[in-house]
Order: sequence, then structure tokens, then C-alpha cells
Amino acid sequence: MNNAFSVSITTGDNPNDAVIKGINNLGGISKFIEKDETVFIKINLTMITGFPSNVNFNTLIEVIKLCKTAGAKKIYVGSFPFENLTIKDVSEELGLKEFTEYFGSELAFLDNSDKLKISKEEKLRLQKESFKEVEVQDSIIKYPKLILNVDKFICINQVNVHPLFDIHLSLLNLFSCIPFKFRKIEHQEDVEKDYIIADQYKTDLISRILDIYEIKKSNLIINDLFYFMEGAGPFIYKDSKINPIKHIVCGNEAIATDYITLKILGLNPKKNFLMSHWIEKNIGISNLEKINLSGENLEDINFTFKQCKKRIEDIYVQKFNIKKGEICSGCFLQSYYLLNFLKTFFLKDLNYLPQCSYLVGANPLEPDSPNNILLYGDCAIKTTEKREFRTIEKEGKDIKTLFLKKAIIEKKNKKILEIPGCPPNLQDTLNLFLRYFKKSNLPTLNFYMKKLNKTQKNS
Amino acid sequence: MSINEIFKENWLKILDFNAKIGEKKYLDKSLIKVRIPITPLEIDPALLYKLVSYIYPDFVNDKQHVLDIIISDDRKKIEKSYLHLTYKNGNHYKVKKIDLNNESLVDQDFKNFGVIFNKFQNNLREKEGITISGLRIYTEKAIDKINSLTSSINSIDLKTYLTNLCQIFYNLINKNMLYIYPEPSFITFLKRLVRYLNFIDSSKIFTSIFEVLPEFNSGIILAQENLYLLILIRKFSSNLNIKLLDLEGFNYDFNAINKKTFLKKITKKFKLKSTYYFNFQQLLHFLNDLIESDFPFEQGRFSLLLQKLLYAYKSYEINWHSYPRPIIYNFFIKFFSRLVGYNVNLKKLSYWAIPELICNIHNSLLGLSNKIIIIFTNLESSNKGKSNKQVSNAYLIETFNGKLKKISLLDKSDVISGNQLNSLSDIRNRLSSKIGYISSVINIDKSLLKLVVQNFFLNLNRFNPFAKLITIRKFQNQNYFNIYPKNTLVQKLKIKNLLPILIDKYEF
Ligand code: SF4
Repeated sequence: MNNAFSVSITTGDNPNDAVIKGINNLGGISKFIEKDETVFIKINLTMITGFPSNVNFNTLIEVIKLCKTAGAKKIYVGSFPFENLTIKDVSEELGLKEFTEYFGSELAFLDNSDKLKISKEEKLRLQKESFKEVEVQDSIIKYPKLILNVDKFICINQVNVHPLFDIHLSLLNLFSCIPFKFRKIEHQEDVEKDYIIADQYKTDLISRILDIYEIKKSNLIINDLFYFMEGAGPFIYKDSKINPIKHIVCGNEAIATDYITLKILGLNPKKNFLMSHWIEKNIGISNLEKINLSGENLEDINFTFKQCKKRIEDIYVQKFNIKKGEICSGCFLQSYYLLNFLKTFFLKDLNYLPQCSYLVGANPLEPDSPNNILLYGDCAIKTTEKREFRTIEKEGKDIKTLFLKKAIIEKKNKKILEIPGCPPNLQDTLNLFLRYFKKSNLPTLNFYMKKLNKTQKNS
Repeated sequence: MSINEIFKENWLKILDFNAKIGEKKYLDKSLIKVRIPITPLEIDPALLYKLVSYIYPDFVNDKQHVLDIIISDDRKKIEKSYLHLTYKNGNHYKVKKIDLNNESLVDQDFKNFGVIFNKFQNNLREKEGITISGLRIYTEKAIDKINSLTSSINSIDLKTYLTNLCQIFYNLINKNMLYIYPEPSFITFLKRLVRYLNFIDSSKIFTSIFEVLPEFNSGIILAQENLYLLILIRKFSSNLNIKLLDLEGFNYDFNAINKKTFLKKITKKFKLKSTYYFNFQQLLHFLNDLIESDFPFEQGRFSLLLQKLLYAYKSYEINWHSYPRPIIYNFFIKFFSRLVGYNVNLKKLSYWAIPELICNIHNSLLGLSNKIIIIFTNLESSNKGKSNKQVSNAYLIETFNGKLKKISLLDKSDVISGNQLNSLSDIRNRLSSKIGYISSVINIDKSLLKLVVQNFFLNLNRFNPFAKLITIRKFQNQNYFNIYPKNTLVQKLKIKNLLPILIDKYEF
């Protein structure tokens, strides 16, 4: 990163105007795209939900139009969605294939989910053909060949609040250039205390995010804050709200663009986990402080916003008493998704549930009662193996007296739900909930899971 | 410019009646019939008196004397002024022409009505020794409009009248022809509604609603202490009939706990198909909550209002009654439907959970900022077969942070080409490029809406599972209902899976 970084901050009546101005400030689209070049536009495409969980399609339309005016030969649009969703699932529910085609681009089915009824072998072959193994640092990462092979790479990132990294930076957007299963940080061995204390999950996650960023650098980055999601994010939850900040930040380099975006939002980039890690790994902050800024004056912009809840015990979910132990970012992030998801869609189900103790992390606090204890994650399961609540005392016939006399006997507490994983995954957790609490007590979740499983089966 | 004779004659009759009530004079009610002002609806003046005294305090104001001023269209000159004297609660007993010609008006006055109000208030205090509680200012054009509405009141049918009323109300608000100070909450609410409907002509909305209503012949009883109002309402072919009656003269046992016999008698006597009984006070409370809300509603407020509505709906035989009894409350029907896996006990409707779920699903699926298009078609009037749907109306609905931002009428040419409805995907993409990203396009045929109203809201007493099933099935027929992009949650919706979400397991 030794070239001059240029970043532009623009505003306008609508995102379309603001993005045009932003790109013009950087020298115009022809500075980025030349005639007959192929372009890949990386967007946020997370779930079957509306804006701002996904990209602002108005901004996307404008960028496609600009690429066409620059004479781009082929424009691809794409991303990998969240968890087990395929690109086809999201495309069908949002009508994306036709939408992108209408505007003269093509939705890239990077996961080959558009190929109908093909054998498993064929699928594997396609996967091999579509991904290239790239060596970064000490690891091998499977990266889509399509993105590697295009001439120009643009990233449009819808900026929302994020529970772990304050805001959804373009670095996080670029991370979903690879499928969710390759993004997951899973700890297979027994969890050691150091892993949690050092928050190795977060360190590993950050390293992987930065590795992906290094593989293929974007030529043009657009951090779209025109409608900024605050309160809860990056997906749409009950407490999510849109704040019309009406600014767009464009730049020729992701780190530099994110750096300015953080500053616009009144956040100290040096305190941002992603940014500070990068600064530590690289030559330091000096280059970032020499960014060529154009457009609006950074000093004149002063936004305050409502952050996500940063402690899971602050996320209030009816009937869930959170008992936290030593916890790393893995269980925090997954718990954040789970608890927000529950409070958004399952008000009725929660009302049917009994009071539960949600134990998370190593050596969690004592549950309120021996009934309905949810042990979330391997740490909570392993470190409570010998805890008193694992057994209950019951009156029964004493074996020593050949069942003639009554005695207090110890039994395994069956009112415990173990949710394994380091960290556990959302869909598996919800399926375990259904089994433990019974479908009849979770009518909304049952309905939702049926639809989700069906959607995935169909694709 | 003066108000027409038909209106005037009726108004004077009402004033005369109210004056006599005020003076506690003996009245033979049966001899007089008046019309509700500016409507063709005939009513017993005593009933009107009672209705006004119940409705006025909540919806207009609970004070006395109102000043009406007619001004020139350029808003510079006062043409005429009338003082309406009132004993209490909006029941005027006397109208008095007064001279305010020496008062002048300037444009500035219309920016702050408090100032004009005080000016006239002082004038009247001095001249008449009277304090007014309200001021209504009509331009000459407004009087023209009201005259055009009332002049044919005796000869036009109710449907045409209501369409005209919507049109005139829309014009009065939209074109600043009427000013009321202090502005009653229902006028403020209606004004905001019209603004958010992006000034879509309200008569068009009325006609659309009227079209999807199937034929019916019902009675609605609004009851509370000392008031038993029966509204006979009948829709047949393209006509509508409404009659208002005071039930007090009919010698019924209003206090009977079992309303069934009472409602049965009414149904038979007036040859109705069904009769509904509502508590008037509760209805007024709900309407008051509605109009006191800031429109468009915040999602929290919307949830609360919907919760109240669903709670009232679930409280059958507590808050409302009907004859015949809806078949769904029949023990055997409930039992058998439960046996085949359909728990349809409406008394356990999840009134507390449904509104929030609707809001959260809306936000999540369509987004916190979204635009959707709803196209109403009319297969019944398409004579070239089902593939050639006639488009009635197409609306663009915009929401932001879950709050309605705007509803506007789309030009038909945006959705059809050569008389044919374009594919929904084409409409979505083309309009996205023109007016911004469209999340969803929904096409619904009016005949399907009609079936829904008929089978799920009106014919509640008939056991006709097939009609209901056919209606539900039609949602899967793209000629009647279509949504783009396809939404598995909506398209593959099965009532059996949905019922546990809508109906509670326990009574809370
Ligand atoms: S189980 Fe959870 S808290 Fe423990 S190491 Fe794994 S992710 Fe971290």
C-alpha cells in the first residue's frame, strides 16, 4: 500500500447522485474501467431479506450504468450469502437474476447453485473448476476463479452496525467473496483457557478477513452510508433502524476507504479491531493519514449513532436468563445473532417457553434453577460437566436394600439442552430448540424452519 | 353566494327541534323527520340529537357556539357570517346572521388562525356578548361545492352521493377551501391521510372499495345507555341503501344478557340476512384512538391499534354479538376441525402477538426502506378471457423505517402495454429504473377480494368449507393472485401451518 490513496465523501438528494459525484471526484469511472474490460461488482447479499441487510440496489443500478458508459464488456454482480443459503435461494426470492440482466449485468452464481439437478460428482467437479486454491500467509484459501480473472473489481458495501467490528466495513463485505463454510472459524480441538482469554477466535477471524482482502484488491470501493442501519445489525432485527446519513464514501483502496468511513461515524480507527490489526501488520498508520480527501469536509461531518449491543447480557429476550462465563468473540457473535433472531420473530413462542437459563462461555454463572438449562457452545458444555445442576436428587427405591426402602437418589438432569459447537451454528441451534421444547411450543419457529428447510432442499 | 334551500330547510328544522328540546317543550317525534346535514340519510331528530351529543365531545369539541364565515375566493373579503348558537355538545338551536363586514382579512391571517379567531372572538364579545368555541371559514367555491352536493340530495342514489362526498371533501382539503379553528382531530387525521395518499382522489378509493364488496343486507346495532341505533345497510347490484332507526321505540328488552333472541327478532322484523351488535362507547373509544394517532402511524402505534381491533374481534359475545352466530363457534364444527388438525378457535386469537409479528416480518422481508407496487385487476370486466386482465388501479406504496411514507397512484401505462398487463418481473425492473428499486410487485384480482370478503367476513354463519377452500386455492392461481419476486413464505402458505401462529394454545 504505497500508492496515493484517494477517498471522496459525497452527499446528494439520493444515493444515485451521491455515488456519481463520489466517482467523479476520484477522476470519473473511466479512471477505473477501460473499454472492453470485465468487471465484478461485489455487493452485500446476505439473506432473503430486504434493504439494508442487502446492498442498496439503487446504488448498484447507478454503478452498473457507469460501468456500461465506460464500455465494460461484461459486468458480473455477486456475493456469497449467510450460513446455508445458496445464491439461487436469495436470487429467486429477490428476483435478482432478472433484475441484474435487465440492467445489463449478470448475477454470478459463484456457488453453481443455478445448475439444476446435477450429480454429486458433477457438483464437486464444478466446484473444483470454479475455485482456485490460493496460498496466503500459511494457509490455502479457495477463492472463486471468476473474481480472480476479471479485469476490474468493484465493491459496493452497505454500511450497517456490526456487533463485533462496530460497523460493517468493506473489508467484511470482501470477506464474503468466499463461501460461508470457508469463512467459518471453528475450533476442533478441546478448548484451552488461552484460546478464550486471548480471544483467538477473533484473531483468527481478523487474519482470515485480511487474507481475503489481500487475494484480490478492489479497484473501487463504495461504502454506502446513505441509509445507515443502526441499533441492531447487520441483518434486520427488531431494534434495527435506518438513519439517513446521506453520505457515500468512495475510494481506490479498501483500508483507506474504511478508515475514512470510521472517522465519519465518529469512531477511532485505531480502536477498531480490524483496522488496528491491519495497522499493526503493515507499515503503520502514516500512509492512512496522508489520504487525498475530496468532496465534503471531514471535519464538518459529525454523526452519532446507536451501536449494537456489545454484551450479550444486554440483549433482553423474554424467558432467557443469560449466565455468562469467560466467552470469546465466537460465542458472542453467534449468541448475538440467535438472541436477536428470537426476539424479532418469536414473541409468541417465547411466551410459551418456560424460564430458561442460557449458559454460555467457560465456567458460566449458576443457572437460576435446574430446569431448562441451555448450554450454548463447547465451553459451556465441557466446563459444567461436574457442576451440581448436572444431577438432580429424587426420591426412589434404594438399590442397597433391594428396593425395599426409599432413599434419595441422584439422577442425571435431563432438563438440559446441550448446543455443541465452537461456536454453534444458528440453524443447528434452532433445530435443537425445536426438538427440546417441542414443535407445538414453538409454532412460529416450526413454521419458519419448515420453510427454510424446504427452500434449501429445493435448491 | 348563499347556501341552497334544500340544505337550509333541513337545517332550520333541526335547529327548531333542538331549540324545543333545550326549552324542554313537548315533542311528538313521530311527526318530524330530518336529514343528517349534507347527507340524504333521514333520521329522527331526537336520535340525531343523541348521536351528536355522544360524538361531538370526542371528535369535534365539547364547547358552545360556532361562527361560520363565508369569504371571497381571493380570501380578502368577508361575504357573510352566521353565528350558530348551542346549548351544549354541538346541538345548535339557533342561527343568527351577523355583520362582520368591517373586519378585513389578509393573507397573513391564514397562517395563524389563532389571531383571526381572537379578532372575531373580541368582536362578538363586544357586539353580542357571546364567546365562540369554534370558527369555520368557507370560501365561496366551498359553498358552491357543498351546494352542488346538497342540491340533488333528494334525487341521487346513495352510492353516487358518497362518491361525490369523497370528491368534494378531497377538493375542500386539497384546494384550501375550508378552514376550521380549532381543527377537530378527525379533520386533522383525514387531512394527513389525504396527504399521505398523495392526494389520490378519495372517490376513486371509495369506488374501488365499493366494487369489491359483495351483495349484503345487514343490520348494525350500536348500543349504549340511552342509545339504540339500528343501521340498516343493504348493497344490491351497484346500489347502496342505508337507513337509521332508533330502536327505543320498538319495545325490546335491551338489557337481556342473551342477545341472541333480541338480534333474531330484529333480523326477522327487518328481513335481514344478518345483524351485528356493537357497544357504541367502545367503538367511539377505538375511533378516538385512531384519529388521535399521528398519521402515518409509527409501527408501535400501528401494533397497538391492531391489537385492540383483534382483541375486540376475538371477544365475540362479550364485546360484539351477531345473529346468526358464526358457524365457527359451533361446538361440533370446532371439534371436527380440531380433529382434522385445524384449530380455529377465534376466541383464542393471538391478538397480542400477531401485530408485532406482522411488523417484524414486513421489515425483514421487504426491508426497512421499501417500495412495493399493488396492481388491482378485474377479470370480471375483461371480456377477452383470463389472459387479458383489465387493470383497475395500480398503487405505489413506500415505507421507511416501517412507517408508511407515501401511497401514490401509478399511471396505467406503467403497468400495461397494448391493454395487456405486463409481466410482473418486467414491471418491477422497468419501474425500478424509473422510480427507484421496487422490492415487490403484487397483482390481486378484485373478484378474489370479493370472495375473501364474502366467505371470510360476511357469510360467517354458513358452513361452506368448499367455498372457503376455493377462495384459498385461488391465491395459488396466478390469474387471481401473483407476487413477484416469488415469496415462498406467502405463496406456499398453508392454513394448517399458519393456524398455530394465529391461534393461542392457552387462554392468556
Ligand atoms: S465454545 Fe464459544 S466461547 Fe468457547 S472457545 Fe468456542 S466459541 Fe469461544
